[in-house]
Amino acid sequence: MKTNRPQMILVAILVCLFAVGMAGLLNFFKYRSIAEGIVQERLVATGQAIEYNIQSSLAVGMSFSDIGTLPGALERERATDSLILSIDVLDDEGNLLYSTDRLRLTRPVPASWLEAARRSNGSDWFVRDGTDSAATNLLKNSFGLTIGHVVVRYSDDQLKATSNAVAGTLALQALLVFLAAATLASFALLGVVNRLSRDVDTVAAALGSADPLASSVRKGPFGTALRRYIDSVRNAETEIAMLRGKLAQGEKR
Amino acid sequence: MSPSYLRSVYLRLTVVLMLIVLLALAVSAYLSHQAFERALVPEMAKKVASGGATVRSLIIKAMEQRIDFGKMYGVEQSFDELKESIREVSYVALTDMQGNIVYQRFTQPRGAAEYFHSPAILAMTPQPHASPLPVRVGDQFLVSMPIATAEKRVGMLHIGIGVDFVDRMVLDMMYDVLIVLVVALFLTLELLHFIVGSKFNRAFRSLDEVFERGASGDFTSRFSVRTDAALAGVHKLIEVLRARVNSAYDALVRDLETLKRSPAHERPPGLAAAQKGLHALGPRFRFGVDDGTAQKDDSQLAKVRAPLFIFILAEEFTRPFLPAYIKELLVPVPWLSPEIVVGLPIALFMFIVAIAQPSLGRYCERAGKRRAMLQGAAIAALGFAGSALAGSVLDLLLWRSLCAVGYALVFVAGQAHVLEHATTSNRARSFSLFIGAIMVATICGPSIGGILADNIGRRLTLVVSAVLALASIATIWQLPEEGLADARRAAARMPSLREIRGLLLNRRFMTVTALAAVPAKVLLTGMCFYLVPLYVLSIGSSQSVVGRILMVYAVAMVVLSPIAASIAATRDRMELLVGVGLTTSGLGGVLMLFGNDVAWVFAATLLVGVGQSLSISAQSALVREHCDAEVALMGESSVYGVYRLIERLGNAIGPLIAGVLLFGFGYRASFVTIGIGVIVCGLCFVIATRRPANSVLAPA
Repeated sequence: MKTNRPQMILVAILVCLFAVGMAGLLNFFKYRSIAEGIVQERLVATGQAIEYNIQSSLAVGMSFSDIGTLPGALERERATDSLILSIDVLDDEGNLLYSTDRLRLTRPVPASWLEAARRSNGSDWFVRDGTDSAATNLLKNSFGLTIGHVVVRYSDDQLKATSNAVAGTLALQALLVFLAAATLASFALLGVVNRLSRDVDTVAAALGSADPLASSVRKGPFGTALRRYIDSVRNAETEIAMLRGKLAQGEKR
Repeated sequence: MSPSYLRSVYLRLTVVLMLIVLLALAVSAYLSHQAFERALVPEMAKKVASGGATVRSLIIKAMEQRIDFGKMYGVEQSFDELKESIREVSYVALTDMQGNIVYQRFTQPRGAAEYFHSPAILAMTPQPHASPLPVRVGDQFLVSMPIATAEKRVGMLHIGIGVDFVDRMVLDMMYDVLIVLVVALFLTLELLHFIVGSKFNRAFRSLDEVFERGASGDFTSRFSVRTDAALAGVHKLIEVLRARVNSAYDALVRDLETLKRSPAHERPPGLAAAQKGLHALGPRFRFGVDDGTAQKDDSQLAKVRAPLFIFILAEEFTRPFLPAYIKELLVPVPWLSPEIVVGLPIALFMFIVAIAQPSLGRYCERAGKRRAMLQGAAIAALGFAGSALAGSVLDLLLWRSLCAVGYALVFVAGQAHVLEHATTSNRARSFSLFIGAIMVATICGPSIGGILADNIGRRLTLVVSAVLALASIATIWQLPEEGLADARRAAARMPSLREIRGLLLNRRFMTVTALAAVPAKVLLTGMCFYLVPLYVLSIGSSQSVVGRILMVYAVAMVVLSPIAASIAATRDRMELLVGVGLTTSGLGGVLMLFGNDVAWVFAATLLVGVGQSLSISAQSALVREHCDAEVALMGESSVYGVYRLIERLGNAIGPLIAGVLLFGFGYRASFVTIGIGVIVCGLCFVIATRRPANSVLAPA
C-alpha cells in the first residue's frame, strides 16, 4: 500500500486545487461584479441629477440644445467625483451637445458608445472602453420618447488597478489555503492508507507467526477470510498427516 | 471481504478529503469576506456619498431660501428617496453644529449619538470638502458629510450602511460554493477510481481470490495472477503455506507410488487405506499447479471511465447556456421564427447523435475503439473551439455538428470498449461503470458550466469545454491498444429498412417506443435543455441557477434510477413504473401553471427527474418483454437498435416542438402543453398495456 502514497498525494492536491481554485475564482468574479455595479450605480446617480436638471429646464419650455445653465451644472457634478473624466450630453442621434471637456465638442463621439446606444433598445447603457468607459442615463420627453443621453465618462484604469489589487490578495489567500489544505489532506489520506497498510501488515505478520489466528487478526477486516484459509490449510495438512499416519502404522507392523 | 472493505476504505478517504475541503472553503469564505470588506466599503461609501450629495444640495438650497435648519419640510421624504435609490442605506441623520440629531430616519446604530458628539466629527463639521470616509459605528458604517453654504456651516449629514451588505454578498455565493463542494465530492470519487482505484481493486481482488481458493481447498499455484507490490509480502507468505501443503501432498503421493511399485509382500497393510484416503482428498482439495486458464483482467475496463467522464463533462458544460448563446448569435432565417432557430443547433446535435451511432459502431470495429475515441474527442474539441468563435447561428450549426459527431464516436467507442472487456458475469457492473461516468458528468457539468458562463462568459466556457475534450485525449491515450477483433462476437449490424418498417408497424413495439420512450425524450430536451435555460434567464435569473436546476434533474436520476430498476422485476411492475413515471414527469411541466418563479422551475425539473428515473430502466426492459417474437426473429440488437434510434429522434424533435410552442404561446404555456402531452401519452400507455386481471390460460 505504501507504493500508492504519491498517487494519494496527487488526489489530495487535485481535489484541493479544484475546490480552492474554483472558490477563489468565484470570489474574484463576485467582487468584480459587485465593485463594477457599485461604481456604475454611483455614476448613474450622478447622471440622474443632471437628468433631473435637464427635465426641469425642458418643463419650463427651454430648448434641449440651448440650456444656458447646463454647462455649469455639468461642471459642478463632475467635480464631485474624482473618477469622472467628463460628463457629456448627446442628442438622440448621438451628436454631442454639451460636455465638461470642451475639446471633446469638436471630436466625434466614440464608436463604442454609438454601438452600445444602438444595442440598448431604449434602456440605460454601459461601456467598458479604457478612458472612454461610460455610464449613461436616457433622457426622455414627457411623451416617453428618447431625446438624448447623459453620459458620465470615466477611466476604467482606476477600477482595473483596484480590481487587480484585490485579485492579488484573493490569489495569495487562495494559494495559502490551497497549500494548507493540500498538505493536511495529503497527511490525512496517507493516514488512511497507513491504516490500510497496517491491516495488510497484520495479515502478513499473522501468516508468518506460529498462531495465524490470534484474536487480534481475527477481529480485523481480513479475519474471516484468513480464518477460513488457515482452517482449510490445517484441514488439508491434518488429512495428509492422517494418511501418512496410516501408512506409517502399516510400516511399523 | 474485499468489496465491503474497499468500499469502507473509499468512504474513509472521501470523507476525510471532503471534511478538509469543507474546512478550506470555510476559511476561504472568511478570508474573502475580510478582503471584500476592505475593498468594497470605501467604494460603497463613495456611492452613498454620491446619493447623499443630492440630499445635501436640497438642504443647502433650503438654507439659501433662509429656511430655519430645524424647520425644513420634507427632509424625511428625501431620506426615503435616498433609501429607494440606494438600497444598502440603513440609516440617515442630520445633525447640527453641536452634533445633536435634528432629523433622522430608519434604524439608528448603537453608539451613534456619542459618535456624532465625538471631537473628530465636530472638528470635521466646519470643513465643507472633507472626504467622506466610512467609520464603523455599531452594526453600520457611517459616512458623514458636512453641510455648508458659502456663508454658513449648518451641520452634518450622516448616512449609515449595514455591515451585513458584505455578509449578504458572501452568502449570495454560498450556493455556488456548495456546488463546488458537491462537484469536489464527485471529483474525489472519480480521481480515486482513476488514480488508485484499479490498483486497489486488482490488489485486493487477487488477495481475496487467493484466500477464497485456499478456503475452498484449492492449493494450486497460479502463474498468471499479477500481484500488487504492496501485497507481495502477504502473497509470498501465502505461497509458503501453499508450498508447504503441496510438498506434504507431493511427498505422500511419491511415497505411495514408491510403495505401490514395491513387491506385494513389502507393501504396508495401510497402503490401500492410504490410497483410498488420497482419492477421497480429490473432491475436496486441489494440489499442484493450476491448468493456467487465462483470467480476464478487468482493470482495463475501469480505465474507460475517466476519459468518458471528462469528455461528457465538456458537453454538459454547455447545457445551461447553449440556448441563450444561440439566441445571442441569431440571424434572420427565412420562414423560421427565432424561437425555432434557437432550437435548431440542439435538435441537429441530437439528430446527428441518433443517426450516426449505428454506422459509427461499425467504424469503431474497423478502426479500433481507442483510435475511434481519440478521433471523436479531437473532432469534438474542434467543434467546441469553433463554437466559441462562432459569428452567427449558421456557423454554430456546423460547429455543433462536429461536436455531435465527436460525441457519438466517443460514446459508441466507449460502449464497445466496455463490451469488449466485460465478461458475462460482470456485464451489468461494467455498464453501471459506463453509465456512472455519464451520470456523474451530468451532475457536475451543468452546474459548473453555468457558474463559468456567468463569470467568464459563454465563449470562454466553450473554450474550457474544448480544453476538457483535449484533456480527455490524454486519458484515452492510456487505454490499451486492442488486439485482433474477437471472432466470437458478432459484428455490429445496422437494422435493415425492412426490419425498421416491420417494427414501426408493430403495435406492441410502438406502444413502448411512441407512447413512452419518445415523449420522455421530448420532455427532456424540449423542457430541460431548451425551455428551462431560456425561461430562467428571461425572468432575470442567472446561468448558474440554470446549472443548479439541471443538476437537480441529474441527482434525481442518479439517486432514484437504481431503486426503480430494482423494483422493475416483473412486466406488470415495469408497465406501472413507466405509466407512473411518464405521468409524474408530465406533471413537472404542468406545475408551471401554478407559479412562474425559479422555485417552480426547480420543482418542475425535479418532478421530471423523478418521473424519468422511474420509467427509464423499465422502459428499455419492456421492449424485450413486449417484443419477444421480434427479438427471436430479428435478434435483440436489431430490435434495440431501432428502439434506440427512434428514442434518440425524440431527443432531436424535443427542442423543435418546444420552439414552435414558445413561438405560439409563450413560456409557461409551452411547459404546460409539453407536460400535458406527456401525461396523455402516459395514460394511453397504461390503457394500451392494460390486461384483464384473470388473463391466465383457461384449462382445456
